[in-house]
Amino acid sequence: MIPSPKATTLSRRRFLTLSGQGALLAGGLALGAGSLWPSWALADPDLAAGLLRLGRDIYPHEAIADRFYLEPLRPLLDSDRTLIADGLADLDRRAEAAHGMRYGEIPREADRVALLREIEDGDFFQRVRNTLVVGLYDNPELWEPHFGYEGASWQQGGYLHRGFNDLVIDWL
Amino acid sequence: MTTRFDHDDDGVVVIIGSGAGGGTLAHALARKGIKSVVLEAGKRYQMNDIENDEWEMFKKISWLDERITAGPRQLTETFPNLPAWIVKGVGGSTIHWAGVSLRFQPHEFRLHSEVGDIPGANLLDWPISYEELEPYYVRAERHMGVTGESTGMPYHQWNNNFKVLAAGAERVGYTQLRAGPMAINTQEYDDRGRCMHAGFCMQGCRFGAKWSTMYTDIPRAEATGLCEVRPRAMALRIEHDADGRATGVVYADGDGNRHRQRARAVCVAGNSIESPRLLLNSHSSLFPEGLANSSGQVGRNYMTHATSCIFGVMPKPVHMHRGTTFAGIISDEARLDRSRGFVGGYTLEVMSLGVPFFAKFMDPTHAGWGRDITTALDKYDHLSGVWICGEDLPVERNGITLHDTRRDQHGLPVPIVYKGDHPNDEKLRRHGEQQARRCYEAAGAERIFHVPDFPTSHNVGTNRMSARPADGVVNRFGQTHDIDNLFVSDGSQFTSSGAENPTLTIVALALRQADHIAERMQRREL
Repeated sequence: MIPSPKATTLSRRRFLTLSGQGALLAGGLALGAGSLWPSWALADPDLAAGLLRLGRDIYPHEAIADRFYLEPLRPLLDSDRTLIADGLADLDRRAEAAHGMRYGEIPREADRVALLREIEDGDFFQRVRNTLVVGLYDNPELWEPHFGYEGASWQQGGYLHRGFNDLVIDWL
Repeated sequence: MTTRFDHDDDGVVVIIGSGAGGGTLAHALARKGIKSVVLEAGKRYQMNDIENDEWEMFKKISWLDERITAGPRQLTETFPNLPAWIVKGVGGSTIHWAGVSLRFQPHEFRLHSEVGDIPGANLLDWPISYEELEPYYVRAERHMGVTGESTGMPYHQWNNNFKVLAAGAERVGYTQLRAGPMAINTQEYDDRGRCMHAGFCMQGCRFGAKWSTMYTDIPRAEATGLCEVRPRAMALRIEHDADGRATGVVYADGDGNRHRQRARAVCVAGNSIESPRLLLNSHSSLFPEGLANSSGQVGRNYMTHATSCIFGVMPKPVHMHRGTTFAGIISDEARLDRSRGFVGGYTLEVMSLGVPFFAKFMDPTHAGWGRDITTALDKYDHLSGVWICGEDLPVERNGITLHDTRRDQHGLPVPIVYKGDHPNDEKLRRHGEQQARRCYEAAGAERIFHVPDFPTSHNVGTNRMSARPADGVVNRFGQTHDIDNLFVSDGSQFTSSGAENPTLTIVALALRQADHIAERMQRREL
């Protein structure tokens, strides 16, 4: 996928403001986990950026790239667009009231998390969270590289000869 | 394999459910020349339907018909429509069970006599003793292929997960540590291969090393020509004649068409939610409170085990997902010892979850997000876990009732599954959590945390056995006190929960019931 220059600019700017790492990024560090966005997110940058920030605050893993958060959340923009748009707008209002800036612009994670704790019982938050708890952690692409979970094993004959009892407890 | 019995054949035993109770019973009856029709609500699965994939298998085989979780417990919030994690399919929950095959302890059959009355608990002795059931335990163990003395199969080698827990447990002073007994082959047995330590026991054993009626009792019963299994057949009501004898079962087939299967006897084995639900839904002018319910105990005394999970983050990778899911058992706390501040005991069972389920179950409350969760997940391969399986006291209020207005796809009232803790359950659970934490501390864990209850797979007690008809639903053979030819053949017969996983006892009771039914038929009483 080769995004158009215009969209790239948009997404990059949004990413810089949403990540809470703006200061670091401004200091010249690379984007790190912020790899290329999928095209739909570039086409819908405001909602995508809000969802991404939210997703990363709900299940923060610095080493996991944006697309692993964005892809499972994408269907929400079709199935629950109003819920998502209203929810993010509400979050921005709360952020403006508390910090004088939009939710995604709040630099400190603890401040963003405090705002999210206020809304965690609501449908909007739980819809995003329940979507992500499956969408993020049921992704085989992440299992072994990120979590050390090896997934299906019967095709390899299980672990009978592949380490089911290979642990040596040498730390006690 | 293609035996078909006529709907009007009133010489068949109709068995509702094909799991540990129903599947075992159908096979045992067939071996004695007794014909049966098994009505199974779920589909038939093949071995290649079994995948090593937590969510795929959950979606494929779980009982997901609407149910309402109720009562003062966290599950009411976290899983409002999934009180129980059990299977809808030919083979029932023996597809999903983890293979732990512990016998009840002798005193657990007479807990009431041992400890006396306990306020708020509806304690009752079983009308059978351990000694009476013991020969059936041996038969069940041979039948299922349980590692240990009855089969001569050695226990499993300890997997990494159990090694970690055991290292801590030994330092805490525990001595009763075993990687068995399990109904999971450690060598070829019963024409089934050995365990390959693939993990995913609860998603169904792809190798057939774990006993399940799906690929043992059910096809073998069918092969006799004396058993017909009807998948996707949902029992709607049990009918009776003017004398109050069961005459047949009305059921809906997979297309929603209704049929009436006549019966010589009816055996209900639909698990502890569906079995009482069916009896309650079968109310009539003769039995206005439901079938076999003169005691008022149908649907009451629902027990799930008092449970909890503790996980530890270890200094090095453990890979808990490798090997059997419940790979080892610690029995030191299973004894009855009131000095601990509670009655009943508990078993500590090492357990694992994959990343998908661990993420879902670690804290399913609304507040279960953020770095507390993700820092544990980032160390997934360093985790070891243990599950506490404790005696859950019978409480009359805990149980299955029918919703006034909500109906399922068959037009039947939706079941409400109400459960709260007895104070004894809370004390036992706290003790178990504390001991499990001590084990992981002693094993050098860097972080230890609690994982709350997930939907329960151990559901027992809602049609309990009793010596007196006023105290329970069925007698010592699982025959209902009220109706001569109506039996209960699953875990809902349990008078108490014990500190042990229920399947082995369900199978032992089903084998015993088959003998009883055959003898009574021989005497022409049935």
